[in-house]
Amino acid sequence: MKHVPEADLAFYATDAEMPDDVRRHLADCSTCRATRDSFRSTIDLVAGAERLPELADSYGREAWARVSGRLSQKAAPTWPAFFAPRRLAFAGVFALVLVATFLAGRFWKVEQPAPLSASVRERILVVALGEHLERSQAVLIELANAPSGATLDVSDEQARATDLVTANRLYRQTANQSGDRAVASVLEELERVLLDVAHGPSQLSPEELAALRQRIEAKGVLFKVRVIGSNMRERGELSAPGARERKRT
Amino acid sequence: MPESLQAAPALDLTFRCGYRLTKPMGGIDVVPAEGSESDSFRALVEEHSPMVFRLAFRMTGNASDAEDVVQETFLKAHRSLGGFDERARFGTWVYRIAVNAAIDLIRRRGRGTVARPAGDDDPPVVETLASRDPQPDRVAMSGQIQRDVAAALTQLSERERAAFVLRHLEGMPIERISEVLKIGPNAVKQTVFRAVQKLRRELAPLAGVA
Repeated sequence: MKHVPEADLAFYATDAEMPDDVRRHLADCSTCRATRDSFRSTIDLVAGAERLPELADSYGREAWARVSGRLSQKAAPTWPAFFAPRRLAFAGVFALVLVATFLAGRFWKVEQPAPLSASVRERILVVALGEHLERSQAVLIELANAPSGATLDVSDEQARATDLVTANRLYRQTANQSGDRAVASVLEELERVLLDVAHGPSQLSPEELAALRQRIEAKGVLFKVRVIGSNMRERGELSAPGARERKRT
Repeated sequence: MPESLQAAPALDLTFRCGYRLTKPMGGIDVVPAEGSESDSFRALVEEHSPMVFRLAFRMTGNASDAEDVVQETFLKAHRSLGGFDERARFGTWVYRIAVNAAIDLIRRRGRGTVARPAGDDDPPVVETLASRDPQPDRVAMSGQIQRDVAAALTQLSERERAAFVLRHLEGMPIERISEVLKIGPNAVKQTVFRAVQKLRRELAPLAGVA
């Protein structure tokens, strides 16, 4: 007589949804019945030792209150976060661009506006690109360090990667036009990884995660992004007004 | 929209992210809505949070961690609603997020910390034993059983614990476990089998006590 596999006996040990053929076999086979009973006594022991806290009827409403509180916190950033130095730097750059745009429009017909100097243009690009690389690096690090061994929900990283792809394309084109081949090349490799993340599944199996990690690690994308990002920060600091003087002193 | 869901009476609720709730066959589900905005995510949280808490408690072993998992699960669900496959059951999808959140938390805490020790503020342990007669030696014995069971559970890998909980404590059928853990039915059986074997080995000294 062919016995029921032990995995089936362990799975159906409590009789729930037991297939008819297994049930019929158990009725006739004392060996399989003994194995099943042994599994069942273990399961009963674990289930019997369990003490689930009793939840009040209001638990669902209380859970919602806690979750909605955190949702609204996320939706409305706090003032200190808003005034973070990095954000202020961005706000400054945006304000500069806005003022320049406004002045260009205001005086266009009267006289040609003075174009932004090369150093200002570079500074805008350097600050914005540095920020972009920092955000990209954060996504790659999260994926590289994500726990493996179980299905991973990467929908958050995916949403961020989708945003980053568009910006990355613009920076890459700019780098190409300005002849900065090293930056353009790293941005190209970064774009491929970001596209992989953005267009891949939002739930990654351990195998898919391993494959993604391998793509990140294979060409040293993370390392290159880190190096270029560090260079950008340095260039941004040096090109800031008065930085050279401060550096000399 | 699937026909089965179209036929079901739909609650007049719509997510701000563009999903509408329906309630077919007594279980809440989600289908894309046509535009309007509201805070109906609340209905899903209220409906599913007790189930998520129960699962999280069984996975993590304590109420505080379980509460963290509940919040993390619904925050993640809220962020990911755009990627929700409308053909899937919302409950199964939330279960999957909850299992992953619990696994992440267990890993952060370190596997060995998942336990259900009988603390002073815990409810009387004798209630779960076969006998209703709380003799002191029996109380002591039941506390020991609980500690041993808790210790045995820490020997399971996160996935084995998830599979065991889903099957033998939550009573889930193989197809749903397969969906939640995103592994095939045979892999589900093998994982549950490994979990039961490990528990049987760890709890062998207690066989027959309870």
